[in-house]
Amino acid sequence: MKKEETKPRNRKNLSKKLKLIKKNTELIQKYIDELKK
Amino acid sequence: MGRKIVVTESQLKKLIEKINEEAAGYDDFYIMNQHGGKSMALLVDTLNDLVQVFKGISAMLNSDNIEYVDLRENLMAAVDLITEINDVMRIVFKDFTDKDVIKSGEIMHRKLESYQEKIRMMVNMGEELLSKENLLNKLESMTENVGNSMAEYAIKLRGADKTFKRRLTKGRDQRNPDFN
Repeated sequence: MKKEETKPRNRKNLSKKLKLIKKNTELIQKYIDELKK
Repeated sequence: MGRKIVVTESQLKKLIEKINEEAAGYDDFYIMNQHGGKSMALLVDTLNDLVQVFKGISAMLNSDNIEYVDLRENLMAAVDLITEINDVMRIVFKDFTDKDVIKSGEIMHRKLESYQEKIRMMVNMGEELLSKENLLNKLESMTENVGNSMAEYAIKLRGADKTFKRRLTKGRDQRNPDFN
């Protein structure tokens, strides 16, 4: 198999996706805290 | 003999839907309190475990200097944990009553399995074929995708919990809390 080229990570997209991941995680954690009450 | 009541098919359907919705699938207060409560607690716990796994993955994605070896080790541990969580959820779904939660949970379940499979494949390729940077980029897109279905599932679980709590409150106020 041919080795994939290593490209520098796209910082703009990276932060956007990471923000979405964190936002979802926080939202779910908030719901869990509510559910545990 | 009781009085006969004539209802149309659509009226009957609506009535059944309403009863099912209000009773959260149970027609007995005590069974709902015990069985529904335990199932709900298990689903909340498994979702909580899942979120902790994803917090760990998110921390790795955020890290600028994580070593490939550590990334690989942690990802394989995450895959194993997801398998355990998925197994528990699958058992609870078999005996749960809220259709929306089950449907949304099964979608999430399938996405998690696909997520695990892709992680295994990427890790097995090794750093020679898939660099750390590329692995992290792919992992990020995959995690975002699974995160969306987890949030959908959490919303449905929250909805079901509200229905349970509403019915429990109503049941407690009645001397003979039979839903029939």
